[in-house]
Amino acid sequence: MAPPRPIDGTLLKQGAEAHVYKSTFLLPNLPCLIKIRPTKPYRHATLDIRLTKHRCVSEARLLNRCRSMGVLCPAVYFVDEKRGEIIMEWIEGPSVRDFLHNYMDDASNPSKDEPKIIDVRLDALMENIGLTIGKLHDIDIIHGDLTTSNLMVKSRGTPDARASDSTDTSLADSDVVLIDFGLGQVSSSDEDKAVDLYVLERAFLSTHPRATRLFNIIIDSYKRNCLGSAVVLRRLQEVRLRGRKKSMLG
Amino acid sequence: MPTTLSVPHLPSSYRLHIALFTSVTNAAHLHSQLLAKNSEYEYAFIEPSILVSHLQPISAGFRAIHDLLDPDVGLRTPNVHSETVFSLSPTHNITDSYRRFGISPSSTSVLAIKILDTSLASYSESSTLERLAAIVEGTEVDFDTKEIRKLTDLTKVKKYYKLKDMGYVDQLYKKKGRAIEEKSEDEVWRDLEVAVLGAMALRGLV
Repeated sequence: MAPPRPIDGTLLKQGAEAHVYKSTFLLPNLPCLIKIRPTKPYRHATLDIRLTKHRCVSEARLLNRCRSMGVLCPAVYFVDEKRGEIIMEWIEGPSVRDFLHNYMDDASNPSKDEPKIIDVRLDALMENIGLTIGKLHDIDIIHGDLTTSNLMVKSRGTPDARASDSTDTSLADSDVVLIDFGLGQVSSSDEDKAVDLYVLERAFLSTHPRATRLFNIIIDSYKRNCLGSAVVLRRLQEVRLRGRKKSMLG
Repeated sequence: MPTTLSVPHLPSSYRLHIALFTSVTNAAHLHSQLLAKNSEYEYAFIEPSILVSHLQPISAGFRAIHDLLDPDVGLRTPNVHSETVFSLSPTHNITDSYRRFGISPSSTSVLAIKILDTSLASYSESSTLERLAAIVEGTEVDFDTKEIRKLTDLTKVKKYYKLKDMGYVDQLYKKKGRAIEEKSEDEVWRDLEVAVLGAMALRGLV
């Protein structure tokens, strides 16, 4: 394993699999995100190198395929597969998860007397999520870990729109960007696509208990936009009954 | 004026000296000196028609220096300048990369890059820049995306970087008779830019 090198950037998040830093690429004014998979000392060294390299490479490939085929996700700038490091495009904006939390806070705040307007915007966002996932599935990419934290809201055109000021972000002008393809794969099977949606449904309903209506908008939008949606949604019914593991492996 | 810059994540003593020329008259001479391995002419001479933005050559330089300094990787070509040209390529074929992304005897515009470790005693910024401005006979223009895009040959870029799948989803939906939002010119260039950077970054991984 290549020795780790100090990373020039600020640590944003640290998960089980990777550390994420904010930094700059090539020029001081081009922000980027560095995702690095550190060595796991409890794993056998050879296995560790293989796994780190494999995951890093497969994530970079998926990101690149996804972005160049026209589904929004961070672009890949640089890959150092020996160190398990990917430098990618910086996406400015809150995750859908944070966005919904802010919204829920605002909605329970009695001083806000414009819930309807927010509702319309929120519906537009859900519509957009369905469309984006539909596109992803139409190019036969399975995300593998669709959760509200892995969906970002990026406002179009106005990069200086403040991320925390969620209700003022005009959602009609924002894009949904998919991040974290660490568990992704290329597959055209409707089973995989249905499981993808099922994972999102579980994540959605468990983090936002009142969100059944919102998830239905996503499914509805997926149904209308995704070309292969009919088979996938039929399969989703089956998956709901039995859970996500069909093959009983792993 | 040539541009001098150091790049984040690399030792700051390594600097790229970059200059863009149009109406170049001595491309054949420069090309022959490269073939003769004349060390006086050790520069990365890049064909600008395959560039879509100023990030692209800087990214190639970044990769070349990165690989030079990484003992586990190392250079795959004779020096850091040829490595810069090779780093523009999405494939492993070195000869092809020189032919496609490097200068040819018939080139009329040239992007020249000199990479130097400025911590060496022999380094002098003024003489490096002077030499860079003099080595190519042509009109120097600003090294920026605007000037580069005047020279871009999109057919070549799409062919060399294998970008036929670009915007596949929109084309698919269009074929099904769905209304597709037209992208602005800036968005189209940005998509192209990141697709090219991605293809370079994934060299050898695909």
